Amino acid sequence: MKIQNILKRFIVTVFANFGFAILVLLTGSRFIGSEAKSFSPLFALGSEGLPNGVVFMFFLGTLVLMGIRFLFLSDAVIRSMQIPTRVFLTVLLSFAFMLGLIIFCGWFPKDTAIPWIVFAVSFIAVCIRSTLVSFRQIRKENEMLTDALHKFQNQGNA
Amino acid sequence: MHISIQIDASVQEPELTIRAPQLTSEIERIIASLRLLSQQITVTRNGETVILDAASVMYAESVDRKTFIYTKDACYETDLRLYEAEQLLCRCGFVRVSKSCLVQLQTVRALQTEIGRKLRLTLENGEQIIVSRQYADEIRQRLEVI
Repeated sequence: MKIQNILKRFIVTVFANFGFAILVLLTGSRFIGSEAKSFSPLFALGSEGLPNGVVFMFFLGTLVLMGIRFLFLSDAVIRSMQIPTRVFLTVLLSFAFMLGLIIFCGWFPKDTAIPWIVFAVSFIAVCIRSTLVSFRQIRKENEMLTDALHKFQNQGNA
Repeated sequence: MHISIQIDASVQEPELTIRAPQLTSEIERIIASLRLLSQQITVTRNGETVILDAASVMYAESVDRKTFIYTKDACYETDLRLYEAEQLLCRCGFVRVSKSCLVQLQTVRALQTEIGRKLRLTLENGEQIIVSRQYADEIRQRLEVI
């Protein structure tokens, strides 16, 4: 695949995910912004919207997370690596990065358990879901290919 | 499909006639199968020239401008360039899986998708070959899964 196509696909993915994340945050701000204002800088403006710094940090965050995903879950950079290793490294690095971002930006109080639990549960749920979806797609395609190959071989030769 | 066989002592050479309302993919495969049975390729091994049936060839590979022909248990060399071998064998069920390799689909035991739309072929002898994205899509089309 040409480098332009790879870059184009990467940029489209970054902006699609960034847009979705901002939409979720804006929805959160609209409904819980006023209550969350006191303990999270994410919602410093209450239900009025999101601070510029938060939007920018989310953009950088999306860029890095998509970069990690792009690095390990495509063969554009690393050509030979087993799929489980790719998935493991993607999850590990994404989690470490998110953790660093939360602590560095102070998105929620470090000594309050509930936000950490919610973050951990959400992260694990998203990882499990996307891994299951990917594996299901791969298994389905493998079954289709195997059936097609057997049909092909049984009908004669190529 | 109806199959009829006529034994006639006056016939000089075996003759096959396929009668059908139209040329379907199934008929094309039968024709390829017949070609595979009759196609032969000249190869060498340890200085000895051998004529191999195309049906016994699993794959052909080009390494350092030399073309090697692999059967289930042996490796031979041929004077043909890979593209010449492809011209000879493509009508017998061989497909290009990379710039340097041709595989006979009949000898593929398993197919698996790899990351980046590539394919991993496992041959009858257990050898595995990675098919690059470009050729993987051609194989998918050939198997009618696209």
